[in-house]
Amino acid sequence: MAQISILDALKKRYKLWTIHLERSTDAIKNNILQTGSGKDMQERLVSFGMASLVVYIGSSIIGLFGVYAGGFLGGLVLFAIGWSLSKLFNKRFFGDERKQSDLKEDEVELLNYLDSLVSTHQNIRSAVNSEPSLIFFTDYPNLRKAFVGAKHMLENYNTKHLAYKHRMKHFVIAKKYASEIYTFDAIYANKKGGNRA
Amino acid sequence: MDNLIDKLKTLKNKSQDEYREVIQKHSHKQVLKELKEAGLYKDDVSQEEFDKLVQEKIKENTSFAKGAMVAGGALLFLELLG
Repeated sequence: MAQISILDALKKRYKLWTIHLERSTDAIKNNILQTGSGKDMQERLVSFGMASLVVYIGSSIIGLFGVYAGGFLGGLVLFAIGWSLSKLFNKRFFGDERKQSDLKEDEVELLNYLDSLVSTHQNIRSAVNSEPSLIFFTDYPNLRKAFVGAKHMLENYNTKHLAYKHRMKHFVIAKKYASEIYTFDAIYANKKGGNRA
Repeated sequence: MDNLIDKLKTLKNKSQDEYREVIQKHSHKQVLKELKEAGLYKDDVSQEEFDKLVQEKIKENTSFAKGAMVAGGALLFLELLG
């Protein structure tokens, strides 16, 4: 009876873990596709700030030469220059949204691999839900190996494909993804470790 | 997600708290749906874990909604900034 209750608890932990796996995979996918880039409020504020700074610095420098630079038109021109410069900066730092078709071959391979892992675990979850008497914990070595492969691919992913913001973010979310592997291990080995007990 | 944006667009001259409430309710519903798809009930997870799932969703939805609303010209949504 105690064993049944342990297995029941482990199955619940596993099902909950699949939600975290799906979310971690989505986070990696959205970061590679740079979803939301170009629409972010931060980017607009940076553009506005940079344009205002160019107006301030530009008019100060021109003023040093004794030329009147306080006119509306002059300010507008300087603001436009600053705005254009900020767009270039934003493109390098924040990037633009990428389409699936724009992805490089290694990125497509990585995303397909991560999707296939999610599908595998969704299938196991469905089997656990539909056939309560069966326990599908026998494929552990293969599933573990698949995760090691995913971790390796994420660590070796060429972040130069991404804008700077998304390069930095990749390391954080790849680490989070790796932590899901430890949780998976903990569930299969019935340990208390991992992200969640 | 589009559903959430549509809901937010119908709110005019509402306070920051009212925007937040819509996002929270939507996130809460999404987490319940995720649990259902995983074959779990709310009682199967601890309150702490459930809250963590909802908070993550709120963060994701808020970030997405900000972008979508600003891109759509809904400047009132600036209130949510920060």
